[in-house]
Amino acid sequence: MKFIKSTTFNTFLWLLWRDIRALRKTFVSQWIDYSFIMCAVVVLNNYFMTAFGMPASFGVHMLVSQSIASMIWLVTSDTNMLAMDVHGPKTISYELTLPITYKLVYLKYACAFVIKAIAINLASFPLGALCVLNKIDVGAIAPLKFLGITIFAAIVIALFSMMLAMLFKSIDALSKFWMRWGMIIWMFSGLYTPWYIMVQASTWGGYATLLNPLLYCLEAAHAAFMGQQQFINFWLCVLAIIAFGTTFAFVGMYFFKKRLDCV
Amino acid sequence: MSFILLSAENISKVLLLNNKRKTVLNNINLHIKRGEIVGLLGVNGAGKTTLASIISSLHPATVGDVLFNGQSIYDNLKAYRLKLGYCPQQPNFENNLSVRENLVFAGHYYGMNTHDINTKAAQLMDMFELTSYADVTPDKLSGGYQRRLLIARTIMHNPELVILDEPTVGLDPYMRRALINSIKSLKKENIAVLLTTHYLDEIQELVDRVYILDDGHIAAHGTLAELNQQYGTTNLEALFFAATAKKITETL
Repeated sequence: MKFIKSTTFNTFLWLLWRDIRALRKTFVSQWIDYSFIMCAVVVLNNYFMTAFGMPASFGVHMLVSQSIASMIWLVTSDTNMLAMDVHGPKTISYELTLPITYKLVYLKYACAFVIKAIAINLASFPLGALCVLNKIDVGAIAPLKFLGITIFAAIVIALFSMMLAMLFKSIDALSKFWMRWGMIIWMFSGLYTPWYIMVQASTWGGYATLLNPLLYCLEAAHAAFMGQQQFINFWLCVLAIIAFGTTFAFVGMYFFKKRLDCV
Repeated sequence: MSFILLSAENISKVLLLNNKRKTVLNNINLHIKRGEIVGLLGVNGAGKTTLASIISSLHPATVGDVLFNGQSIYDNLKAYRLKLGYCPQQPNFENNLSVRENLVFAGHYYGMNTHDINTKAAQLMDMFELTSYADVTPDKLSGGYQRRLLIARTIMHNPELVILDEPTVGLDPYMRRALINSIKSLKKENIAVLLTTHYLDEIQELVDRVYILDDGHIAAHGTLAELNQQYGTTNLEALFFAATAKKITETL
């Protein structure tokens, strides 16, 4: 029994290692891509949008928002590949006959997507920060909290994206969801403004955004990098992220099993 | 009955196709002895792949159980999978890994130690004539070599039971012959094989016993000699037509 348990863990780690080592081939290229986007967003919002009347800290705000955005794009791209395989050739079937449960196969994909997203995000973030260095309040930064929320955000984003990929019966339906709702979820997640501004502008609209899991990622990341005052309490956000992440994981695994009819 | 390695008992499978329930397997009973090659013969859509995928623990049966060494595989799925090798119809390689790495990683997934992995990988590449392609990724291989790699990966961890789902489909005669020889070599290593195919000559040459599957149920089973005697036929083609005659008449 002990041997079997250790074999399961061993299988999980080797499958994860297989996926992570594939990142070596694309890391530099993706790091360059995401660094360009990060720098462009930060420069635009720090130097041009402030001249247009936005607050002085807007560039820093967008630096943090873009770090979450990068992870969303990276993870969504990976989950779309997984969805295409699940709805198409099903090469994943090999993993489902290995000495490992389908739940661990599912979580292995989540881990691989999270590690990839964090690695590229953390590598490109300093370049974005350099572009806005003069506006960063170093005293307000809580480095461990920021690192922690980056990891938590990547996890909940991966589980959310994977759940959606498994929920829809076809790639077409999934694409339509992202086209119609993805941008709305993203735009109303505290990307441009803290949550309290949204509540001030529209009480009901602001409270409705509390149903948006991305809101907590962005609020907590902003709080960890820019100080707590203007944002939802960091630890409250962490609790919400854990609750959303757990729900997404269970719902995602349920539909993963249903979609692949696996044991 | 300890010589029976695997038995599928009263297996039925119902699928939802276009919002209609369709019974694709109906009360299937099948057994495989240790070191035996068992053929699963049937036309396209007879249910061979569905049955193979249930025995391989990829999909669950709607009704019935699969016993391995007398115990339900679902009681300890991981232990069963350690002793099973499943070679699907469609290649499902990791194309970021080379041929050698596909084998090495397969060994690691099953908890083999590094020394055994390297030895076995080299032995299998030699056996399946893959050594000169060791550093090539599988997507660069021809269909025949991909099949060889699939079988090599399937037996990498020394399974007791191997399920080969139509391994020779679409291969040229040379590749097909090489693969048939490879399957024969599994028997020499006392590995039990469940071979699904619709090629009669493969059944004739390779298997100890055959199950003829027709429209989701077993139309006939036994050794070729037993079945020929039962149906009053002299060759497998005549036997196959006799066992599935009703369906062929209906189709015509």
